[in-house]
Amino acid sequence: MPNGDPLQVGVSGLKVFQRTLNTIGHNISNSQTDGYSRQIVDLATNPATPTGNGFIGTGVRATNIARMFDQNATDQVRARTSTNQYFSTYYGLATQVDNLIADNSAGLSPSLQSFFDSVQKVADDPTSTPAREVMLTQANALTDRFKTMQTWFSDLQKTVNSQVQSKVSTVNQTVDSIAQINQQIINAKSLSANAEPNDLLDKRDVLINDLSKSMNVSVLQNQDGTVNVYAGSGHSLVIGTQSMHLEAKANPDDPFNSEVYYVDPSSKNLSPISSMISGGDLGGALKFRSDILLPAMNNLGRLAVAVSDTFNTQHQKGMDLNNQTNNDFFKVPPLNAVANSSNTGPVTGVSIALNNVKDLTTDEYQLTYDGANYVIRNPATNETFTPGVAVPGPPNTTLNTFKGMDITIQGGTPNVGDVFYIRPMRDAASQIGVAISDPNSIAAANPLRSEFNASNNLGDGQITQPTIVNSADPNLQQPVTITFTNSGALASPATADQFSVSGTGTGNPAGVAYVNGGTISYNGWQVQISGTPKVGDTFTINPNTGGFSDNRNALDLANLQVTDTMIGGQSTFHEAYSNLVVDVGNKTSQANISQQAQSALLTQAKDHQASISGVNLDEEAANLMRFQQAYTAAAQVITTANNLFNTLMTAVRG
Amino acid sequence: MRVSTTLLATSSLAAMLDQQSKLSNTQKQVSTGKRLLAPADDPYGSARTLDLNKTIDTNTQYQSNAGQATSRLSLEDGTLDSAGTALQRIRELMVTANNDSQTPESRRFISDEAKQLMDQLVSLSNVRDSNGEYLFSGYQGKTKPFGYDATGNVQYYGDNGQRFLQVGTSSKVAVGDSGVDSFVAVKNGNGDFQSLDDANNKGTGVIDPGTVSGNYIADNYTIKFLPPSSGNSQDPVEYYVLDGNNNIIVPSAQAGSSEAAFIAGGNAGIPYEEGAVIQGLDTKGVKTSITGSPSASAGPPLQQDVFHVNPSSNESIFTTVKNFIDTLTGPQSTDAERAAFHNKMNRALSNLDQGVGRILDVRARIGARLNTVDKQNSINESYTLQMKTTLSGIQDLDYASAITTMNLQLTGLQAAQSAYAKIQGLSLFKYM
Repeated sequence: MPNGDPLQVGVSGLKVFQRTLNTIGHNISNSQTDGYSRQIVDLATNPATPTGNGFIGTGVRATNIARMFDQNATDQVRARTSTNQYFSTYYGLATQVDNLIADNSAGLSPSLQSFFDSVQKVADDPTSTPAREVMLTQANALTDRFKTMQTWFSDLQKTVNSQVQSKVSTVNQTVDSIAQINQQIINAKSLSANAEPNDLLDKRDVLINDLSKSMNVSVLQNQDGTVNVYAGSGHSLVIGTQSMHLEAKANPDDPFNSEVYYVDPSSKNLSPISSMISGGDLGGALKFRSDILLPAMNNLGRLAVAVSDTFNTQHQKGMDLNNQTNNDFFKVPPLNAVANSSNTGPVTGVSIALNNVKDLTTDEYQLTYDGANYVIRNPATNETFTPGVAVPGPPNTTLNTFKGMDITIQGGTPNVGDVFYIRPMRDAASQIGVAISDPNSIAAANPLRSEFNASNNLGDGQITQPTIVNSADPNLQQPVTITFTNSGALASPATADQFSVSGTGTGNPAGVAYVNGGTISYNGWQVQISGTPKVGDTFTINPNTGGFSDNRNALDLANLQVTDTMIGGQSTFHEAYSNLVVDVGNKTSQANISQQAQSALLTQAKDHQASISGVNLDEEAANLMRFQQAYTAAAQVITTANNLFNTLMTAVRG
Repeated sequence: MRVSTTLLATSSLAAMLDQQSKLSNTQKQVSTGKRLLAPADDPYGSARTLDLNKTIDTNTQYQSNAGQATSRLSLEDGTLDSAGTALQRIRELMVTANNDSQTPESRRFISDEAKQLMDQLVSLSNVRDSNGEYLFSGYQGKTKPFGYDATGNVQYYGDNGQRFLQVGTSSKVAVGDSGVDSFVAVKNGNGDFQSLDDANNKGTGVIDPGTVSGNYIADNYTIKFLPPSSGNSQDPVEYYVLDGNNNIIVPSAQAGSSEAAFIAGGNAGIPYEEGAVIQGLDTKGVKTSITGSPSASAGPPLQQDVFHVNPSSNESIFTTVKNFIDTLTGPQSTDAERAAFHNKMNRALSNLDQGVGRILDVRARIGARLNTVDKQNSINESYTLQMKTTLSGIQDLDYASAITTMNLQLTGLQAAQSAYAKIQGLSLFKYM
């Protein structure tokens, strides 16, 4: 090239400005492209030509097309995207439970209230068939509500499962794409060692960001321009151009819940990683399940067990319009334990009998045998219990009452390492039902009535109406007579100080000392006699035959609504349910606050990133004008050079 | 700081969406009138709302129970009021009949009226409530509690069950009384003891129903008459008093010895004085006297008029009235028969007074219960009002502030919209 040729200098400018205008055009065209980082052309002077008079400039050249990019900003956006997605999925699912449980028409509270109101109506008017029909209808409405809510929870469980399924397949597709782009980047770099394949890098960043929407990942840059991607658990998802897969599968020990497994690339073995996933949609859905959904199901189940069992216990103490006693009102949900699929011991099953309602918890447990003792572990808190054996086996071993449950291991002793899952409350709400269909079978009356002999009794002794202690006593309804006698110790010979009892099942004791107001108990009932009975006074306890107007048991049934029967005898049914509402409400409300905070943080991170990488059209317009002018000027240089040349030619031609 | 054009658009869009979501929430609040739309809005408040709703509902149920209680108790009270009126009329008839001037015919009129009143009493005691349940049959509401048996006596077929209703959280009130309590288990005599003449008495002695003085010691006491120990028939007859074991109480000289020993010893009794307090019994808390002329003769065989003072036993109001009617139709030709008639009428009168007293007692109890129900009702009402106020404070929307908020949000949204439109209009390209 001739030194200091203005034509060449002009052309170098034209070429460079054209390229710059091209890049500006690229920026403008991609201003709406997701993840696009704006590009700029780095300009530098051409090497100058040295002359005796100094260095003469030879124009301009483009050294590089750079991507405006900041690794920190991108990392931050990715991390915050993951957290934000986690909370918004968690919150979205939690809101559904939250909206349901306290709803006036869908929640449990109104059904429970209506049911107990209807029990009061029966107490008001125990012979009224309509009142009894209403009570049955309300009981069915209550059990239906339990079942509906349970179905609803199961549906959410399925939703979580399908989310896990679809997110895992998204993750698998995404890691495949990342591995492919890694390959393309290697290829691109081989073409031009020093230039960066800007658009491919942008595309890969977008994919990694997409991945972090599903779960939290960490990224490691390699020398060759590829990246490795690791799941939060440390398992590698992408190594260079290799991708590894996850699998969503039902938990063999808890088949209604899908879990995320990592597929070992060489052995193809599955290892569970659900508990290690802490961000993204997957993390949010899994956390929602363990944090809100399963506890809510257990809570609802426990309430179903408590309401049905407590009500039944009182109902059994009553007598219906057909003079029948000891009948159930509700079907109490059966309690079950599940054996681990890989157990090797001879145990044929583990049964659970309800011992008492007040000690029931909403926790789930695992039962194992360590060779000497049965050990029960709460996996949520890692607490362990060794309840001890009440009835030793084999074949059937019953443990001491544990959290209100009597657990029996059937068929033999488990091997060390065998596991049984005790989560009887989780499905209980779907099993509750009403045991009777005949309104006459509602036991509103007490099966016994006490009477004093109005024509013979001379004393002012008063007898209370019997309270039923053991409704299953075979002699409960045997007539019993209490006759007062005198031991001879009293000044007034007619005043009695002892009594004899006659009736089947009492053993017919005589000379029982009389205590004013003391409790007298036989055949599963108890009464109190007070006052001053005279010799020969008799009191009888008779079956309450024809006692249709008796509402004593209905009153006791209605009273269960305000009795602290649950949670260590501290809470009523309503309060136990309120606990659930508060718990879910709190968690949802926290999730909402966190979600809003995370969303703001994400916006900030994106703002920051956009301030570096984003395209500003005004800026591009300004650059467009600037470089257009420069282009025009460069073209003018060429024109001038041309004119110079023409002038010279004209001069030469003369 | 640089701002990317996309960011500018999306952030002002996000601001607009955010304003819209807030506005929609406020709009939901305004349209439902509720501040709390889901528990997450205020978890504790939502639980309180459930609790308060439960309490209000339960209270409403108690109110309805109280209404039921009031209507049952009022019915019972009205019934017993009529029964009391009937008994008062019977008492008047008794007083009229217990007069020697009555003729057999006038006594028959009295007896006819008494029978009618008795029927009326039976039908009152068989009253049913609006559900067709018998009010006075205890637990056996479908069993007719009172009815005549073959001998014309009124029998009770119910039991002594009593129904209660819950009218407050810890307040149960009895909404009835059994037939036993109201009509059957009524102590006869004066409530502590009953004085009786012996059916074989020959004299005209009439024993006073008596009163308790001091500490009554319950026992079956007997007053027996002896001819004058002087042998002079002008002298008053004499009496002695036995306790339940037939041991002498007075004369005090022989106190504690057996009756046989007392007679065999030829001991003198206490001279009878008409209308004087019977000695010996006063130490047992019994103050009674005998009027007329009890008879006693040495015989043989020894003839003694005998009177008893026994502890009160239960006698149904119907038995009392039945006995009165039977007494009216008994013979009254001799002095002794007339004395027996007066003794029976005296007993009937005091028994009836006990019955009237019982009805009044039961009515007093009903009154007290109605009062309790009323009080409980007003407690429940004010409690419900309080609960509703609290509930409203927790869950209801303050419209004034909600509307203000909504207006602000509307303004905000409009501002965001107009800002968006303006920013979108800004572009350097326009000027190229």
